[in-house]
Amino acid sequence: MFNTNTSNISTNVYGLSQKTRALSHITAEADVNRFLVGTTALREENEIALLEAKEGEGVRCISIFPHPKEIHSITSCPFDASLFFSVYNTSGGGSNNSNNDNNNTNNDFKSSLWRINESMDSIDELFELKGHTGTIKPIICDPSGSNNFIISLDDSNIRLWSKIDDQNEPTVVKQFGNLSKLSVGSINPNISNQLATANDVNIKGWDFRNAKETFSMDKAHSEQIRDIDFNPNKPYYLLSAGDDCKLKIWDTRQTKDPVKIFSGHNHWIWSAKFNRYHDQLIITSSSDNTVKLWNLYSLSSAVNSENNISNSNEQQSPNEQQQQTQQPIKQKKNKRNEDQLIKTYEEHEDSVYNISWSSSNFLFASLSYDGRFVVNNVPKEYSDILSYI
Amino acid sequence: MSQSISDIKLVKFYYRHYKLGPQDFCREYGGNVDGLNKFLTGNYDSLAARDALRAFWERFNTNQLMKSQAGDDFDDDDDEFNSTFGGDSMLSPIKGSGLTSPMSSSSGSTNTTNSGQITGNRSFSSLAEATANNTNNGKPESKRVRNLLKTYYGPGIGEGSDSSSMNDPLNIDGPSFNLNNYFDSIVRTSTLNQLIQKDNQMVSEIRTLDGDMKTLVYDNYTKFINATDIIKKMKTNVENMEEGMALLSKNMDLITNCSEKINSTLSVRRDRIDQLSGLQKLLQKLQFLTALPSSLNHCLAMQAYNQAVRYYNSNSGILKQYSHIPSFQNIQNECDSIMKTMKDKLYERLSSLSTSQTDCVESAEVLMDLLEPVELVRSKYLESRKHHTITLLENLEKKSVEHITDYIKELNANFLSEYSYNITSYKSLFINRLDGSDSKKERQHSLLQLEEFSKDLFNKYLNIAKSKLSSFKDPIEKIIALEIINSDVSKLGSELSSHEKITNIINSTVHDQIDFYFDNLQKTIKEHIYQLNTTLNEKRDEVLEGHTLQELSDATSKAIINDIILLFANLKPFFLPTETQFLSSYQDTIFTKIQVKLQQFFLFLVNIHFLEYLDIIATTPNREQFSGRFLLVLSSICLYIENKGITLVVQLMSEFITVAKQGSKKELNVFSFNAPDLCKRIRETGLQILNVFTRLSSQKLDKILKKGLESVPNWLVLKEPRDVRPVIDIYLEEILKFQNEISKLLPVVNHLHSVKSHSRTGSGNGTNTGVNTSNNTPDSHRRNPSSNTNTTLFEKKVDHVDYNTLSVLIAIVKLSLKSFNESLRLKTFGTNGCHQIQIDLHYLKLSLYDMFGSNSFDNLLQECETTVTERCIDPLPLAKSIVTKICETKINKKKNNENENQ
Repeated sequence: MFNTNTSNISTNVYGLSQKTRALSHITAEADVNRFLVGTTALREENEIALLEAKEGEGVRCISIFPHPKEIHSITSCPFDASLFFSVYNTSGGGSNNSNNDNNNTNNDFKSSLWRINESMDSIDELFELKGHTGTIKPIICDPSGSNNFIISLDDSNIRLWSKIDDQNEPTVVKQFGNLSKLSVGSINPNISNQLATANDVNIKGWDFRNAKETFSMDKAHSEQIRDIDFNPNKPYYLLSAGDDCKLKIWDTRQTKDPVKIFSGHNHWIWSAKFNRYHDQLIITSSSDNTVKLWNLYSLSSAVNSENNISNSNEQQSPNEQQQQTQQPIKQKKNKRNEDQLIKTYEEHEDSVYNISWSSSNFLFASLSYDGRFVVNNVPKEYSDILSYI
Repeated sequence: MSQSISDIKLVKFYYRHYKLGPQDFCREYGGNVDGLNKFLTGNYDSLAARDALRAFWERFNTNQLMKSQAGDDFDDDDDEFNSTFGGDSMLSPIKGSGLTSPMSSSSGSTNTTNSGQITGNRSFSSLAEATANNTNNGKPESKRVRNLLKTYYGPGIGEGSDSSSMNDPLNIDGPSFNLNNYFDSIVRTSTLNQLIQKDNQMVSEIRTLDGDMKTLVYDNYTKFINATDIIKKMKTNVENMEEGMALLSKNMDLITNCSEKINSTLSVRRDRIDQLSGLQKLLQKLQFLTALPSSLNHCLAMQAYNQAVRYYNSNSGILKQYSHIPSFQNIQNECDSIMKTMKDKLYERLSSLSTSQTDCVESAEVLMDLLEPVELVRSKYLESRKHHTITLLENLEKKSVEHITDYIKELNANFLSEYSYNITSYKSLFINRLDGSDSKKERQHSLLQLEEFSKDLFNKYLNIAKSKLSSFKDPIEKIIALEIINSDVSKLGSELSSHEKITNIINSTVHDQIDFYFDNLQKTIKEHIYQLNTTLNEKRDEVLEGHTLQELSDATSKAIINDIILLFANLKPFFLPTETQFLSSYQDTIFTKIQVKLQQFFLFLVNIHFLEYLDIIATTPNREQFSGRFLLVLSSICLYIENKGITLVVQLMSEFITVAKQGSKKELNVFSFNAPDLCKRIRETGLQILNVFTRLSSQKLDKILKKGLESVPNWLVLKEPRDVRPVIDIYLEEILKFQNEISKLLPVVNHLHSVKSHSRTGSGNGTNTGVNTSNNTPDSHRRNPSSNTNTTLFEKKVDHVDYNTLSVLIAIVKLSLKSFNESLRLKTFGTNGCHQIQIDLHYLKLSLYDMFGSNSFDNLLQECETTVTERCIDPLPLAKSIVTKICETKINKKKNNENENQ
């Protein structure tokens, strides 16, 4: 019955029947834009939808897998498209009602690694990451795509897990942190073993192999921080966003003040992500029901690579090159060199809790609480010009 | 008559009739060849040449005459006549013709042909006429003479040409009159009467002729007597004269003797005296030469350089000429060395700072006289003058200034006089004196150097003036100072291209001043606002008492408005008529500038300035520095400016523009000033600030609700709810506080009921409505769990905050409720927990309705309720009666508390 939505209507919206919070881009699939979306229904049956977005064709559902319990987050494994972690809340739901009274000691949240089986119709739990207390935050995989380690966060502790494979359950290599109100973490793809976490209004940097704190930004926001993300191409830049409706960019070497502040959202920012390749593009999603796309040219790697334009031009296909030389580049140059809000996307009608870039450079997906999954593109004047930088 | 032969004619005559070269001519007639050639080419100075030419002319004429007479002679064979006549005519051809006529007439009776001779003769006066032409083609001149003679001597004379009538023997007047013939013919042809008549006629004719003859005789007689008288007188006079002449010749002889004597005695010594006097002159010169070095030294000591140069220059030639003589050589060397020291001294003086202007000019002049290279002197001169002027300027620059006008006057007096003197002296020294062949180039070069020099100095001067001017801010003084500069410099004349620079300085000063005003305005406004913030921070909640907050806001607004008023007052002097009207030519640019600045300023004020605080606040890590209250006051200032400020400013501006128009002579380009747009902009700005305030305030409320939610460790296990959680009261109190604060500054709209009064009077009503709605909502939401449309509506409304307490408060509360909803979504509730929240929400609904008298929050509260039931593991419906009961007891309890407090 769920597959009714897979009819080939060219639309960038897909609706799920339940409330949704969990969204993950399947990074292991570099050629197609596939996402996992998990529902968050306390009492009803939960499911995970495997969606695919194609440019010009819109979104279609490939498959839907039933998932026990409401899903709070999904993390697709970057090294295997069929593997993903999910964080789920076991406290509600019809099937495990009996556990309610017994299991009230803060371990209602669980996280497991799942495999989508080959027939693409169900998922199998491989193992559970045990030992967490309180709410488990989204699982963090190695951004370089290896399966060497994963990191999990709960309300107070950071755990580094050993190598992930199908057979053996991973073990906790390191456990550290002991903070309160941990909310989110991000691994720096440019500096090995660097992890940043947000707890309440503070941000801390860690060397997770040695469990040592490397930097800290106290009172980075006036309200709780809901997301942080490292710039994928510049080693020291980190974004943070949260309940004070602000998006801040930090230089981890100078943690006193943020290097940039964007404000524009009218309510909490729940998710904020750098574009993996064009790191001047940042998307944020907020409970004011909007998704905003920002241009942060001044601190992006595009500034450095500006000199290499001619080189990269040569590498491009002749067709593209011709097109671009025809375009009045100078006019647009100014616009895209300014740090500013590019666009506000208003397709959602409820709080947008999660957002993700896709395998395509300029495509991103957003998911709102009411189950609406929307795929959008960066406006042409930004994507066109940026494509050769 | 010989004078009347003009030189030109002589020359023409020569060319026509002299066939040989000038050398031959000179050999024949005297005079030198050069003189003659000159004479022939039109230079008539040479007397000898003229005489020679005239001699040639006379001789030619004579020859011609003689030739023609000789021709006649050959015809007549009358040698005697020819010789006498020829000798006679040697005198002068014209005279000759004049005189020969009576003579020929006297002898004419003897020879009938001589009349033809005469006419031929006369024709010579025309010089080149053919001689053969001896008939009736005489010139009118000769005819006239002949008539004259005829009247004198009677008819028949000189009428030789009329041979027919003359030879008529019957013509009584004719010369060949034959009485007998006449008588015979008369007697034969006439009647008696005719004869008698003829006789009578003849008798009377004879009588008159007789009478005429008698008078002629008498006339001649008296003339003769007179002549004899005169001759007698002459005789006596000549006798007296002879005595005087004798005396004179005697004396003359005496004088001659004396002079001869003196001459002979002196002749011996004359040579010697000549020799001596020459020697003396030479000696004097030598003495002067030998004394030259000492006198030069003297001059040097006296600083009479001019004289020294004159001595030196007048003698250096001689010295050079005799330089082969050792003593002269010595003198020359000495002089040269002295002159060299003098030159050095002069150069020194030229470049010395203490040298006065005139000395400097003199030095340069002397050096030029000494034939020093012009370029060197020129560059030295310019260098020294430049140095001098610069030190002058530097001194002036260092001077502390009390009044800019005085300072400018002094500066002008010092600099401009020096400057103009330098230029005129330079011109006289280096430009006007040049006269050599290469002078043009040199002059150009000099002019170029002068221009460079003057440009440099003038720029310095202007810079000083500018910097001094810029340190002064009083517009009126400044304008006066500018006027002084303008007039003084224009007095200098347009010889330099300084006019442009003056324009520049005036423009830049005026523009600086305008910039300064505007910058200052921005600065003071900023100060006002910072001051406001510090007072807010210092006084904290004290400002909430009474109208302090309002007053504070008004005071700041007024201060800002006053600053703008001051700005216009400051700008006006630029357009007030000044004495020279020197600014008038710039007024249009000034005006445009002011207008542009005004536009910029308002844009700044409206768009940037106030919004800047948002950025400042956003970037300030120290949150306490700017409170939300500050933002509130800021937005109220925006409101004030919008309502009162802009109109005032517009009024002031139009006043200003009229003043400017009156003051200016040119057409001013008045920009249109869009006051409504400005109002709109500042309103938007205010609203934007208010939005931020709203968000900040809502965050406070957020926190309260969030803490309340988190203070419960586990919502899954909770006792049955008995009361509204206390956090809701805290929340409501906070809202009241905000209301109190906001209502101090923003207008209160009727919809908003004062909480205290309303809670007493209208609580019943509120409760009823609350109950009614609560009856419906939980059910409807259970049926339709996702009410997306409502949420969207809410979100669109959140943006729209208006300038009144109600709207702001509603926005704050809405935002906080939205956040509460978000927090609820993250929790999982048990049945009791869900009920607790439901009770809380219901109580909130009642209280908020009480407060605002509107259902604007119902949607949100409903949303929250939906969420909480969704997040409930086992959502059992809650009896409405319980909800109502608990809420009512709570309200009553609260009322009682309030009453007790009062």
